[in-house]
Amino acid sequence: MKKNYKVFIVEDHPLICKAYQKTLDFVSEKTGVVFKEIVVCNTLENAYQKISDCHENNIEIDIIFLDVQLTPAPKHEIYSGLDLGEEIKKKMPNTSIILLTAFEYLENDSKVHEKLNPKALLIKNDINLDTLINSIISIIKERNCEIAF
Amino acid sequence: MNIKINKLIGYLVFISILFFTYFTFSRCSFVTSKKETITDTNLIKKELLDFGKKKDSSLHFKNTYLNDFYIKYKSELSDSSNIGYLIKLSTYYNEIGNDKRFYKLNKQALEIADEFKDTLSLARINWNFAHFYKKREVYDSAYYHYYNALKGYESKNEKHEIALMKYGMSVIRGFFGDYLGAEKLTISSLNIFKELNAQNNVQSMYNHLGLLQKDLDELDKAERYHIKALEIIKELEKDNKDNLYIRTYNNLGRVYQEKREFEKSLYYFDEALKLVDKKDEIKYARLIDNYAYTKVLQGNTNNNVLNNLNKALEIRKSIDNKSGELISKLHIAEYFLKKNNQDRALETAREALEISEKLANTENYLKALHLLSEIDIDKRGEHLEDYIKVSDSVTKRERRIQNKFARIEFETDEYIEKTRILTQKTEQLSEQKIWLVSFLFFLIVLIILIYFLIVQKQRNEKLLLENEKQQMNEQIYSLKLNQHMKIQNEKNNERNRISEELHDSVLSKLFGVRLHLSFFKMSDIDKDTKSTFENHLTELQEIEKEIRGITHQLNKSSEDINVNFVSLIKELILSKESITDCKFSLHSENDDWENVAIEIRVNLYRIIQEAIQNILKHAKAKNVDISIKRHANQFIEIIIKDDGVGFDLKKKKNGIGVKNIKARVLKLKGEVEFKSELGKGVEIKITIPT
Repeated sequence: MKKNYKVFIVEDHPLICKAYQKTLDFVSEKTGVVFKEIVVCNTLENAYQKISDCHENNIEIDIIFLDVQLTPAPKHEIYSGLDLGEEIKKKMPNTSIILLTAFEYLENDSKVHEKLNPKALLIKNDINLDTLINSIISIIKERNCEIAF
Repeated sequence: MNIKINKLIGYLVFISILFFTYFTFSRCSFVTSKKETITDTNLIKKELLDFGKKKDSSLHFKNTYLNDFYIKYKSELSDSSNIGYLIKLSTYYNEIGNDKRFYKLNKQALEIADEFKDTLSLARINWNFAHFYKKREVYDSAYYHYYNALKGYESKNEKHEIALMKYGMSVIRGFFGDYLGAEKLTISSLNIFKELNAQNNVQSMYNHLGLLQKDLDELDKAERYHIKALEIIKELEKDNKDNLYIRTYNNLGRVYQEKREFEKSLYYFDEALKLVDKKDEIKYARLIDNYAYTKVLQGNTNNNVLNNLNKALEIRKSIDNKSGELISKLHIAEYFLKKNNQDRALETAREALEISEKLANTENYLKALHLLSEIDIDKRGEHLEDYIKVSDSVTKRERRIQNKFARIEFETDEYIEKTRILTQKTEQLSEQKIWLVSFLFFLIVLIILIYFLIVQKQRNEKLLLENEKQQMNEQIYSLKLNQHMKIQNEKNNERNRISEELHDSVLSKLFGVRLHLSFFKMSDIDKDTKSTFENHLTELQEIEKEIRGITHQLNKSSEDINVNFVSLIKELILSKESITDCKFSLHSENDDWENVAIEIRVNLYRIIQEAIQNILKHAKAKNVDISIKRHANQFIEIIIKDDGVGFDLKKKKNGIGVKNIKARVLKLKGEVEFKSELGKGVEIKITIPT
């Protein structure tokens, strides 16, 4: 089992960022998985920069928590979390994306599934902590299997 | 309405033109219409001329001829255009001495000429009358007519006739002893005849002047005038001048007789006797009498002289020439006086006195008295007394008649002046009347015109005001619409803002808090508390979902509000529905009306408003169906249907509502179609390009 996971959190609400971190700590404690590095990005701009850096340095990102409604970064033609997700999918196809949004209609949007193929698409106000934890665990399990192959 | 007024005004102007043409030409047509009744005037003329040539025929023949002519053309002669022939005919009757016919015809001519104010004919008629009265020795009437004729000819400046009239008047004045007045008139005539170079008349004037001078005892002057007349007769270009010579010789002989130049007197009487036709008994008798009397005056009392005197007396007796007889008797009495045969002288003188008394010949009566006073010495005083008495009365009478002539002239002048003023006045009055009537008519037309102009102006002003009002209404509407849109946009923006705020911020924060709280349940707490806590967490999640629901609702209603134009129509319908029993249904698609020009929206709103107004006012409809459709951004189709009473499309008199709708559609370059039948409602279909 791989133990050092690199995780990105792209979310503009610090409270939610902290909640994600806590959740990761909880998962780590429970499963013994080590999240070596947790990068928090509050803006798309920031996120884009950091992801590009990782890509250039050939550093792989394992899991990314991605919000949809974010301040746009027109410089890189990125207007929402969806655009960033596409970018990540291009650069790092192996990264697992957890899409977390308040827009419930995205749940049934086939385009999002096609282009981003998120490992989980969670509607913020529909889920509770257990759902989130389960999603993370199932992703880790899946990744381990892949590695195992 | 405009067309009506224009028609009316045109009509009035036409009438006024007719009116004036009538006034202008009515006087002219009066003159021209008379010409139609002319028959063959040439024929009348010819027959009258034929009569003129028949100078030598007998009086009886002439009379028959004229009577035939008169009966033949009686009706034609009564026509005013033939008055000339009528006068001519009456003149001929006067010449042949048919006084009755003359008087009748001349009177008829007078009436016609008087009616038509034919001055020349009137003058000629007066002349005829003057001639007629003179012949009948009614001298004042004759003078009156001469004077009237003179005035007529003077007004037309007919010189020859003026001179003739003056001569006629002069003869009458001379006859009544107004020698100076007569002389004045004759000189005036003489001058005119000289001017006209009418030598025959000139010598007549000289002759008359000579006679007048003799009466005035201006014997030298009389001699000169008669000599002058004689000279002119010699130069006259005339075939038979014998009578003129005889007259002048006789007159000269008489002048010399008075002058007591007996040789000269005898010479001229002798010259006259050489020329005279013995058949012309009056003249012949006069000449031999005068010749013998000169001899008597010379003192020659031989039998030959008496024979001549008696011869003249016999001739005069035979032709019943009473005044001639009188003169002969006076001469014979004087002869016997010269011969001292008192008895015969007295006897003859008395006979003369008797005759002169019968004839009322005052001049010779005086002569007889004078002679008697010389013969009958015993009764001399008596005779002289008589003489003075009669002579005084003659002078008085002459004065009276002279005054009468003056009065006639004065009265005639006055009458002419009066008639002139009167006709002038009547003309003025009738002219004034025409002017007054025309003026009033024009005034009425003017007032009517002004009235219509004022009404028209007021109407225009009203229309202008209405137009302005409409424009204002449109402005208000467009402002209202804009305001409405702004408010809606603001509302939408606010809703969006609230929605976004709730969605992005509040929901996320709640989510964050809920996650954090979830970690507490992991720690060890008693089961009851844990379940309560979990319940609260679920509640919290429910609240999140509720808020999300609100954001969705906010978004959705803001999308609905975008129809604004349609919503205005809805508002309009609602407001109308609330005041009537009519039910409205609106079919419209929620298209975006923002890109439709505001002008079109405003007009469409007005059209629908107008249509609804009309339906509510007239149609008595129960259901109204309005559908608004937009076809592929190319045109807008509006159909308004009602189930009311409908109206007859064939009737031209459409209401203002229909006109307004048509005007508005035309303004938007669209088309409108009315479908209606009585009792089957109305369908208005409007298409407007966008």
